[in-house]
Amino acid sequence: MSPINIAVLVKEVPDPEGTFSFDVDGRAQTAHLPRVPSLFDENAVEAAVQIKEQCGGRIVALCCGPAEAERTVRYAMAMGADDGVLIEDTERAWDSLGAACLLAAAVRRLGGFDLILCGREAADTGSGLVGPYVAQMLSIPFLTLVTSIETGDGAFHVRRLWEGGEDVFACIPPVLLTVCAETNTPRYPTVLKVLGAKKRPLQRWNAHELAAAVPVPPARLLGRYPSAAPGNCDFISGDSAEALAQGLFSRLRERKVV
Amino acid sequence: MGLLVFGRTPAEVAVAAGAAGADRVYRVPGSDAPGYHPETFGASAAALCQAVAPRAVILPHGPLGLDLAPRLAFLLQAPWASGCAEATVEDDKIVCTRSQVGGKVVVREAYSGLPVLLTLRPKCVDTLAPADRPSAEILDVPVASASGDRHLVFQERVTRPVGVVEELEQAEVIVSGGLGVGSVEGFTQLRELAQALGGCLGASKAAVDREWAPRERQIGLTGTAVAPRLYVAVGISGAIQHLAGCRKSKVIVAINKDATAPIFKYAHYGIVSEWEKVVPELLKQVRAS
Ligand SMILES: Cc1cc2nc3c(=O)[nH]c(=O)nc-3n(C[C@H](O)[C@H](O)[C@H](O)COP(=O)(O)OP(=O)(O)OC[C@H]3O[C@@H](n4cnc5c(N)ncnc54)[C@H](O)[C@@H]3O)c2cc1C
Repeated sequence: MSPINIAVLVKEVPDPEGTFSFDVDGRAQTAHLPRVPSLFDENAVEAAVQIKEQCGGRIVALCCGPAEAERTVRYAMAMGADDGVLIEDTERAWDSLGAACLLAAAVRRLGGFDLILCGREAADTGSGLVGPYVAQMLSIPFLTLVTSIETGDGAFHVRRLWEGGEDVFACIPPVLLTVCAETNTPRYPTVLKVLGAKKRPLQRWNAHELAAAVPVPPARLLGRYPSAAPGNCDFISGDSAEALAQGLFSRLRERKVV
Repeated sequence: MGLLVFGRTPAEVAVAAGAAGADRVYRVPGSDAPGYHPETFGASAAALCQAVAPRAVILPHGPLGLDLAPRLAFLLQAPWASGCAEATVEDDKIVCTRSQVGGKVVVREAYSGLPVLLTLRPKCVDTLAPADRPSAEILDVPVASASGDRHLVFQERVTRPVGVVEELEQAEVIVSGGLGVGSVEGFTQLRELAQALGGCLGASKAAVDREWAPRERQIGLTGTAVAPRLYVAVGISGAIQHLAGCRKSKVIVAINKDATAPIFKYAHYGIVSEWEKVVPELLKQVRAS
């Protein structure tokens, strides 16, 4: 295939392994959490870099997030993206539709992509909305939950999940694909690449500069809170393994689950 | 309530759909060829929604729903509530409870307008027993043409060889092992226990990553979601991503040597001990009964 122009959409998220808390208005209080690139977006960057290694072309990493998210853009550049764009925004971390509108406007402004990649879902919102909406706002076809991408004959040969296995598609560019973890193992950039990426120019755009109208009225937030664990475990006591096993088994029989 | 079915066998589906509470089954003639045709499915579903004006459209939060819901929502200019664990009708609003950050966070939102699209996470809603109702009426929906499918050409459907996922989804009893099980041999013992209980084997991601159990046996957010009658977690710490796939089980038993392991917050019964001591005793009990 001839050189391929790729845009990768990446998000920076509060570490999903951390503890999440919220204020009374449902705003996330995550300042205490380290910020990390969203898991599946690293698979998307890796997929882009592998395609570029085969076919040539350019990769631009786009991110919508606060000023600190520059780190995640530079991480994508260290992995192999040529250029980086940060759309500075502090309001759309939990607003997937709003973020999709900004990213679509940014991709349109840059123009000329054969392939747009992003992760299957963000590690925080878990919606899987941004990819499909960016594609549809740009009127280009898309496929979600992609597990492999191969290039050849002017098309991308793509596998995506279905409930019982995988479907195989030929995708004529331009196309947007959302990528699963099965697709690849993201590389760790070398220290040299990390340092190199720090020196390269990075474009910063202001969210207000991008005309981005949200197509549907947002839902009214009623509350956002950490999910509660039931915490009513009946601990079996006993002074031997036999007694413990017996205690458990008799309770399970009482409850008619065995 | 109507059920939209792509593909074959609406006649058989109509009986089950009727018993489950549906009045109509909509079929799309010409969609019986195997495979997924994203833009045709999207356009056909949108045409149906425009004709019947449903208040809510519910899709499974899985491979089909995650691809089709955004198409449908965009075509209908409707909101999409992704990853719902629950949905209720309150006055003129549909209130959705969605889970985020792998199940760590719950968000409740009220959606107004018509229709609202929901993708519902697997095993979140208890299914009712089939009712004594007439079979649903079968109606044809014209297949909508979507020029875009020329850019996304379906080529073939690859079916996963083993039905492990289906076996897990249907199992009444699952015995799962985690990193604490320590070896392939440990998993052999768990499989024996599972078999003695008439169930099957599951595993955490950490155990699967070490190849102590096959990948298809992974339970959790990025594995299979299950809700058996009995779920026994052995040497599993209880990470939220694991619990996302098993916390809907009717009874959860945890066997872990660490009394502070998070799994005990979700378990109904707990044994704080090394599994190597307890599992063989449990197996004896089960076999003797
Ligand atoms: C986006 C994302 C998706 C993920 N998806 C999944 C998923 O689908 N499924 C999944 O399982 N994980 C998933 N994970 C990984 C998850 O976060 C945890 O890392 C994983 O579940 C831990 O597995 P574990 O409980 O087996 O291991 P550990 O957390 O290491 O726990 C081992 C436990 O064994 C106990 N133990 C040790 N020795 C013994 C003994 N002799 N007897 C009894 N107990 C003992 C220890 O006390 C400990 O509690 C995901 C992570 C991310 C970030």
